[in-house]
Amino acid sequence: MTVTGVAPPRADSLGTPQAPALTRAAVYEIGGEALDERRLQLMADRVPGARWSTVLGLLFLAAIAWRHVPSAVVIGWFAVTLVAREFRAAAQLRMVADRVTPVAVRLRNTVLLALLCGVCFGAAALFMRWLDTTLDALVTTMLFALATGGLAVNSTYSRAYAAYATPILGLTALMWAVEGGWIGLTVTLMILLAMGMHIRFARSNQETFEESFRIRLENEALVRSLAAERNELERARDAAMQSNLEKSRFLAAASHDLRQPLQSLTLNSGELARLPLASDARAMASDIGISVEQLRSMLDALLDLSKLDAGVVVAQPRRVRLALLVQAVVASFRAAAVVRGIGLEHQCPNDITVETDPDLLRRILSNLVDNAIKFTSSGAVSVQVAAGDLDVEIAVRDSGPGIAPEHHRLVFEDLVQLPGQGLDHRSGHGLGLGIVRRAAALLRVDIKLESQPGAGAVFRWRMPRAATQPGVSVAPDGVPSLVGKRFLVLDDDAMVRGAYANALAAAGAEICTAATIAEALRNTGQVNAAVIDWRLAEEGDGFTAIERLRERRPVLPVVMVTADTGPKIAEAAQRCGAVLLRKPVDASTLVRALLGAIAGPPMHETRSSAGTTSGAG
Amino acid sequence: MNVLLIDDHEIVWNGTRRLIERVAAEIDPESIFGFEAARDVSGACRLPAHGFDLVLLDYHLPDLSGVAALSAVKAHFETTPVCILSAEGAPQRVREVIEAGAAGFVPKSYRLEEMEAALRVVLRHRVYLPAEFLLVDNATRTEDPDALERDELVRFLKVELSPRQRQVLALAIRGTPVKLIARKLTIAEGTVKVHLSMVYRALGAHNRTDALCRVFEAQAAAALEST
Repeated sequence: MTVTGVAPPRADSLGTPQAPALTRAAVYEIGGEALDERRLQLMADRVPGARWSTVLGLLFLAAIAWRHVPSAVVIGWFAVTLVAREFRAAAQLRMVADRVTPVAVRLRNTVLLALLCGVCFGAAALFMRWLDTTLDALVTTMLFALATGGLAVNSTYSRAYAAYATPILGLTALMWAVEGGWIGLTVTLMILLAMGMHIRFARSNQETFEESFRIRLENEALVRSLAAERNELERARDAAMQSNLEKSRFLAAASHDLRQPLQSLTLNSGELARLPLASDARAMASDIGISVEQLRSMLDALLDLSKLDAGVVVAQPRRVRLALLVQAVVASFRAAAVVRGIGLEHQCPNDITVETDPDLLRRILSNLVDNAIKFTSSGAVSVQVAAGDLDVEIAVRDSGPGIAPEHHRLVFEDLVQLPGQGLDHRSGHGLGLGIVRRAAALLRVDIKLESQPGAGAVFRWRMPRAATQPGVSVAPDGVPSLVGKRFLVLDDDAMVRGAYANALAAAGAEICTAATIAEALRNTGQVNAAVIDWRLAEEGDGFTAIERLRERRPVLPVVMVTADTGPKIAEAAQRCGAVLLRKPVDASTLVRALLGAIAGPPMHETRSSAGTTSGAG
Repeated sequence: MNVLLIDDHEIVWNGTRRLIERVAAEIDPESIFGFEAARDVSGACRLPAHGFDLVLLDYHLPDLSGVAALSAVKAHFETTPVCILSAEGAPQRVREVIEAGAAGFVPKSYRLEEMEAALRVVLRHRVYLPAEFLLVDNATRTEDPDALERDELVRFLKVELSPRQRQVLALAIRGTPVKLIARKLTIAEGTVKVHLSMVYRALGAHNRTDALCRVFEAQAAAALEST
């Protein structure tokens, strides 16, 4: 039923979905039309509902008048009134459907129809001429009821109500006034006052209706403008993504196509320089070679840079052994350092791993070392890695001319070359630190520059170390969870067996226990790992047990527990890839050892099978 | 030595041919040098399948390109090692093509001396991996305690492998499928697999890509040549 009422603005919103947000004034303007349509709609909705109460009222009036008023008059009045009422109901419905006639005209017709009904109903007051005071009172009550009932029908349009109620109550009041006497005059006064109150009530009702209608329109406009705004944002985002894609595609094409002629130039100028040439031609060939090399290096840096900017490069962190990476980067610059006549050193503890993208980290290190070598004319460049408990600090240090503090920010900008520096101008392009800055942002590391003129420069940053055991999530204090895991406990001592089982069950694991190897063999199927005591009551020891168990489960992770402190057992345990624990063992150590055994690198297989091979050979 | 270059940019054909010819003459002055170039995979596949010692395939080609081109070229030139040439040498791409059976990856953006060095290795051993790739790949690899040290690895390849095993490994790391190795050496496929699994284990390698990395990194490819 709201469809008709809000049709104009909705049609508008469908036609032009990007309509700008509606202003308050526009809401009122559109609201005026829509409001009137809605008025008509509500009246049309209510007229049929009032039919039977109205007809009943009219019948009652006719019944009161029947004995006292001439029959022709009563019948005539009843017929005319009924027709007028039904005519109004039908006309009201027609006017809702009629979207051609201006709404103002239809509203005026509504008022006229209301007036017609009011006059017809009110005509019943004329019966009072033939009636006594008691029946007059009854007629007045009925007409009052009809006038009040009209409030419901016409509540959205007080003018229609006024047109309807005024003739009814006005004629009633007139008849009482004609009656005269203090009763007649008092009743006349009361009716007129009541009429005023009714009309005022209708008016305030209409205002409430209008206000709530406008609030609804405003809400709808707000929703529409929010939707439009969201569409706008989505379109902007799509456009940005599209242009990013296009940029990446362009870059791919550029890196491929730009490099081909350059490649040809490189190859041919290289071969040219090897031909037997006159010395001036040789010098030219060498100059061409240098230009081509510089062009190539700039193009590489530029494409690197654009790729980082285009967002096509994302960090793909992995466990990286830092020593290998540092070593290899330094090695690739050894020749360059020798040419410049400077030292190139590095220090890095051997066993450190970090969680990072190795390619991006390599680019950072390479560009920093490259830069340092270019700026340093005597002394040395060094890469130093210092390990803390949780992170590592990497520093690239040079003994170059240094950078004044006010230029520290500037050097990370693209294409910036500070004047008066000992730069090897043949290969400088001022993009290296720009690449460093972008790669560092992708890795979320903060590279700090410490430098004073004449005192060299240090680029320094920290990155977190990788957890020592991958896959083991250890609660800060307490025992890690073993939920969902199943372990075999093999120990001939029932008390010890029970203690291990309790400790592991407390961490959430499922446990099966065995006192002998034979018993253990029956349970190896579904376990994640086994805890085996080295000393067993039967012939053979824990290693025999491991051998037998691995015949069934070749890569079964094992934690072996022993009170023995000699090196022989340790060696044997290492050979078969078992984690060795010395007694006494506490619960959390046992749990961690088991998790370590499960999560350990998949070397158990290699170890055990390699062991078998060497044993056989 | 016969080399086939598949590259849609004719502008690089001549330069590449000159460079390869010179390097080939340095390596093996006796051998006659032959060079062909094709613009795309279909053009290359019209050439005889058995005439070449090495195929250099550009990664970007107009119609069939990348790994798909590699598969098509390998299918045609069955036993010839195929090395990828590309201006874009991101580690993921290198791994992708090596795992798809390429014998090597030569980045085009190298400066001349480096490109020359790379080609020298490719022409001599038919395998090549860029230093950046080894660097990144190694930096993430966990140390396998059973893997041989570099020197030991070279000794192992030279001394402990039989000539047959060396042949099998040399063919395998160049991307030759087991079936073709068996056919070429006229031995059973099962025998090839046994040889390979033994050699891989000794190298601490899980697969061909690993084995190629190990051998290449230890500069041990030469050890496989003395068959």
